[in-house]
Amino acid sequence: MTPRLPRDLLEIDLSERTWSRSRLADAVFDAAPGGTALAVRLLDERVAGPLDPLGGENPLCFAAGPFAGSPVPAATKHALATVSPLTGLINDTLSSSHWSAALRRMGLAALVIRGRAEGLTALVIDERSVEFRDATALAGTSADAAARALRRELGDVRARVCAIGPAGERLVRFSVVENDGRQAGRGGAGAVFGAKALKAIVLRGGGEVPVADPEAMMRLARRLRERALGPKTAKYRVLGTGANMRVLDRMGLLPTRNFSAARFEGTERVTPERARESPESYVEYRAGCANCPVQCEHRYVRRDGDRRHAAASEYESTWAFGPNCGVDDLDAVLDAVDRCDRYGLDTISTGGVIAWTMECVERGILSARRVGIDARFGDARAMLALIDAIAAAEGFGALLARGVRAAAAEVGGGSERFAMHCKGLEMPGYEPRGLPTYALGLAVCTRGACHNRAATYDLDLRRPTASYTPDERARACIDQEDYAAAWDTLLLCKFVRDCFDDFWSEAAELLAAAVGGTWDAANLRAVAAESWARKRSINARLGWRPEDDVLPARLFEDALHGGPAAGLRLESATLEALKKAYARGRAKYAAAVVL
Amino acid sequence: MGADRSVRLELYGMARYLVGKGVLDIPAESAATVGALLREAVRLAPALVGAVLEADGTPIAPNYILLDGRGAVASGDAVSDNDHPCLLVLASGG
Ligand code: SF4
Repeated sequence: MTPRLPRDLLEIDLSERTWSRSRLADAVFDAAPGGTALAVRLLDERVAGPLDPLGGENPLCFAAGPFAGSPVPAATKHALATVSPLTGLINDTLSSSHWSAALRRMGLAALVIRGRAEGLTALVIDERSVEFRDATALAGTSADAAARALRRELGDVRARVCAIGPAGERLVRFSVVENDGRQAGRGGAGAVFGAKALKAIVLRGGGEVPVADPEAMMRLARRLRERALGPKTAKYRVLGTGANMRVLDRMGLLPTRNFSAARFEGTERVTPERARESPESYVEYRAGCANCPVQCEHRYVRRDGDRRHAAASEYESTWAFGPNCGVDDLDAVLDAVDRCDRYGLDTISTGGVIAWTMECVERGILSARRVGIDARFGDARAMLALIDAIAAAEGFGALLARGVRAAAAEVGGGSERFAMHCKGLEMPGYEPRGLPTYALGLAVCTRGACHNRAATYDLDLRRPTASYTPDERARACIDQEDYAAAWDTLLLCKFVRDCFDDFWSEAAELLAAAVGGTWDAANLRAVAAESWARKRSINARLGWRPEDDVLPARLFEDALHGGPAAGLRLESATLEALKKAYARGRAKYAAAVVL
Repeated sequence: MGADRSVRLELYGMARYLVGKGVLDIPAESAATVGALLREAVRLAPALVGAVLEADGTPIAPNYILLDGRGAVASGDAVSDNDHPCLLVLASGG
């Protein structure tokens, strides 16, 4: 069967104001059929050694998912790979919806942008041309406002836009790129846009997305859609991820006040479930990605509030501003999430730098004068003021805008001990001291402290008191990394992962129906493993060393107190043994990467 | 365990949503083992069937049960006076 997948690569140089369109070879698609595998491959081919993530030479590599624009549900997504200004290492990030489909409708598998524009620019792309459009009038606008303004200017309500908000323009190193209300969130791709003076990318026009085997595609997509409407995704449809807060608190694994505790006494007041359970006080709006029946996003606003400020209630975001900042005011937490969306800030990192500030103020390492406000745990007003300052990169916010690792290095005075990050990326909301396999996954993750590139917490959460050998934990971590790499290549949403009986073979069948060719579980696994190896190889060229795979000292030095996980802490010797077992498990890639 | 006592099964996530409350009190004589406890939960709260528990009380993935938020258990394990069984589901990994 001949592959019919859109397969052009569009390369744009902002400095030279030039562009070229070429066809990607079959061999490229056999090894990297789309999504993260393709974006990472394109980055790999363009990163020769250390580079300035905010320099013109840092490429932005977009790749559409192989199912974007097809009938496959929960799969209209794209990947974006670049070098993170927060970590100096690879940042592979994902987003969803109409912009992803528009890429493929224009016959594009991938888009690479390099260079730096002279003034704030919007790229307007159609099937035949690329326009470098002056966007100075859009300076300071939110991504959403910029998208509306561009559609108006172009007189094209169907134009699809991805853009940055003011935080990206001000080079906040954890700013996001947004399209259709979805974000390529972690790692600071927004600042890479900002450094290129790139405000937005507009995609216009395009036709149907062809698929290799329409009949098989319809049958398989229908089956997945039916399953995605069943009990396996009910937790996302009905509750959303915000329901995790009570669960993790009950397990004693809810990072609280910058990871100084693992249970939060304010959980019942700040859990997003409270908004759902209080319909007299809150209105709920459902949202989600294009072509997804799950629509997992649950947005809330006070009944007397402005519905335009209904805030997403995802677990990580509400955790970052609730328990992690010690704030038990749900309205303030929703306000914080809404502000981050409007400014274009990653919520986990924003909450992380604020929680670190609060701990440093409480410990006397930072003065209220230096911070500009007496920011202590639980102070919602200070939290919101710091979000504003970070987005504007003003005052102490300018330091926080560089991320917690850089901020702690500058403040010194022992503040480094409270900077909760791995390789510069702020920690997500799961307590590693009670989750040893997850701790390994965080430490070795190529993009820093990310919980989505290997769901290694699954093993620990479901059987927390089981004892596993280092080799068993390392094997679980490797399997989860490859599994995640496959999902991120196919760009299927991981929220439908329980909808497959045998993921590898069912996903291969879907892929063959979409793009043609011969796909089976074995070659899909090979694609996933190669994608991981390329990420590690890019990092090695960017200067990563094995000793960078470390976790914050407090996780080893301070045992958890109170709750079911009381007394737990990480042991250095244990983590080292796990890392050695992991390196053994990855040894077949030793020739290609440093382990 | 005495006949007049009960084991409190804590409900989280979908289980709490479907039952409409955070706990189910299960008579102790029906909760000698984890399996028996969950079968009784099905009898007291049939709304759990299909989304959280099978009709025979087996948790439907991704739901699972832990004691006191941490202790992993199997169906045949005994439930004792001091246990706090929790029916949980975590929604993550997107
Ligand atoms: S489940 Fe949620 S995050 Fe995943 S594709 Fe659907 S709406 Fe998007």
